[in-house]
Amino acid sequence: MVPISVLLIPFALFTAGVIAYGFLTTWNLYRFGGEFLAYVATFLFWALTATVLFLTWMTLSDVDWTRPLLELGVFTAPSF
Amino acid sequence: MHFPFLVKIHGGALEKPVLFMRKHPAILASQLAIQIILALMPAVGYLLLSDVVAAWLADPALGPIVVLLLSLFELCVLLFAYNAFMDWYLDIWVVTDERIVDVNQSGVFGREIGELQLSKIQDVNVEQRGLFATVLRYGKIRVQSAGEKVEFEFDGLAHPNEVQKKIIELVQADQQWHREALAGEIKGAN
Repeated sequence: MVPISVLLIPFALFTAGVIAYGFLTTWNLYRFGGEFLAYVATFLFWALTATVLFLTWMTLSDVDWTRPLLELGVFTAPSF
Repeated sequence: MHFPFLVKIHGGALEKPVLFMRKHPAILASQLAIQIILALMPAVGYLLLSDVVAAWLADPALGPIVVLLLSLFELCVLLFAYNAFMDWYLDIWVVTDERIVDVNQSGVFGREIGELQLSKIQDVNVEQRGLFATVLRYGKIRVQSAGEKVEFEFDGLAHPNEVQKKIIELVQADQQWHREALAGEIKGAN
């Protein structure tokens, strides 16, 4: 039985990739001359990224991650 | 202006930056508008198909999948928007009293820096096409030189006619300076 928590692995990998690319962009921006406008854009990007991740966390807080990913019980039901 | 890498390019204490330009903000705004529309699409989809989406979200297995996919989608849109800003911010054109420096940024790892001496410039053309370019006053400047790189161009530049005028003034002043320096050398030799 594959638990639903297995979905978190690709999500975590993808999110890590987005965050790493975001850090690279921030580093590039400041290495080559960040000023006020760049600070605003950087703040907005990281604040909105944190908000999306926080809302995802809040929305999924009640999920039972031990549930099976695929409900195969339908195949073993007497009516099948 | 704080662009440390330009100090490395120029270095000369006597060289003065005259114009510092980016693409028109409307170019960035149009790219960000696309990202904002994309970011709002899930909300619009929810409003249009609220019953179906509510059923998906209520499903114990499908609900988390939908939420995780939406989260990834929004993160990607944010990253593309940030990247579009970085491209716009670091794509610059600097005109000094000696040369033009064109820094062309593409993505995090792509950067092309071209230089053109004012003394090599032969012609400066301006091209404005389309309604938005005319109304918002942006366009393309094309500088033709006698060097190896025939054309040097910058698209989406604000007030291209004023920039063209300023570059021509600088080129004339530079050529005048070179003529006088050459005449001084010839006099000195005689």
